[in-house]
Amino acid sequence: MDDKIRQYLAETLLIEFGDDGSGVSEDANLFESGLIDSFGFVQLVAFLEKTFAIEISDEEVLSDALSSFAKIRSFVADKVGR
Amino acid sequence: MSAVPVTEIRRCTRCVLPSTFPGVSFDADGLCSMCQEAPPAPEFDKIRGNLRRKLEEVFAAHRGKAEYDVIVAFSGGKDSSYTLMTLARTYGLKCLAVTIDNGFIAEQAQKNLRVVTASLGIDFLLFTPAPVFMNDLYKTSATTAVHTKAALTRASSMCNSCINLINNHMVKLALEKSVPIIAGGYIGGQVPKDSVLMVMDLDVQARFRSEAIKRYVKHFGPDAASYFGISDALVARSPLRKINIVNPMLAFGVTEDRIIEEIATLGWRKTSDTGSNSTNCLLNDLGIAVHYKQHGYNPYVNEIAEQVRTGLMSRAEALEKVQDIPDFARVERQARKIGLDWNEV
Ligand SMILES: [Zn+2]
Repeated sequence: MDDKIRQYLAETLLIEFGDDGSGVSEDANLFESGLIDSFGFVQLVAFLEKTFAIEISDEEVLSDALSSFAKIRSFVADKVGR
Repeated sequence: MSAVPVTEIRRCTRCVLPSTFPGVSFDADGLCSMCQEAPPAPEFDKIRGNLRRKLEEVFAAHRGKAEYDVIVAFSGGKDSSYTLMTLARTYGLKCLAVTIDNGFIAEQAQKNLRVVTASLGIDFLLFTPAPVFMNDLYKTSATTAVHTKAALTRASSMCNSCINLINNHMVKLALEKSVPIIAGGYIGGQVPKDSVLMVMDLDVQARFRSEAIKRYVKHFGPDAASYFGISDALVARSPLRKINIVNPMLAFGVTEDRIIEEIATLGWRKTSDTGSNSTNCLLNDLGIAVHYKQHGYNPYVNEIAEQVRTGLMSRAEALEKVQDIPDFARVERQARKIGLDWNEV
């Protein structure tokens, strides 16, 4: 799961993660840093719903739950585990 | 940036995507990663048929309920002219055509704006942002990292800035006039996949807008707040909570020749001064040259590759188009018009 999300963010949104200064921190807020725009976010939500067969509600979309790679990962893990 | 001549860059054997394109990889047969995942070209007829049905449902649900059924972001170029024609004639939607005059609409394209809307009997609005703002917007976009990397794979930085300003204006108008649908003339590769129909939730948008506006104001100055922003009061006043954003071209599946043939019946004529990738904007070649200089690939290659992949353009025609990089010496003149020194790029 980690790999799938990481690969999607890298391939579709061209976001590369890494803590050695060469990439984006996994805790970085993707909105505030301008790494994702509204198009990108709509795509991301659709990708997560389809790939992991989960439903993401309007409230969840509006919350902070998908604002960083780390948060996306734990959000999906919670949903899938349920 | 690549020092390899554009004709010698390694390209996908199916769709012409170059090795200089961000995130692309090739398999042993020379197929790019996007083609490896794509169905064969003939299957896109069926895919587009399904997309058309989805669009028709949205049109049926909203037809005849407001002053206008749809606002069409109309550049006067071939794709948005065809979009306007089809929405009005084939789908019987009451259209409001809206054009943003960026100060660089070619003369023939300005005639096309009038003749197309007049032939179709459609209301037409022209909005001209202050040239001083637009020129600075383009200049800054050519010299500063303003957009996401993903957005830059779909259009040049200058184009992206302009597109965002246009989109924002359309949303404002939709809210003011309670129009439930906004249509763009974007074709495959210019917008993300699934852009044939997107439901824009105004609350979700608010979150991006505030972050985006901060960045725009930082780059383009305080006036950017109104060009790229929507006031909370406007959102609150409007009965709309969601707006349907559609890009019908993604579902139509028509070739460029066919588009030009059809819109010619409205009196539309091709421009001769807008370069090989635009049919309306005099700055387009500058945007391409800047992008090529900075990133080493033609910003139109993604859309051209997508046309090939989906069976709407031959590979030979595509190759010719993507290798046609505007002459740097020639675009220097365009650069000066917006106060840009080519060496700053
Ligand atoms: Zn390819």
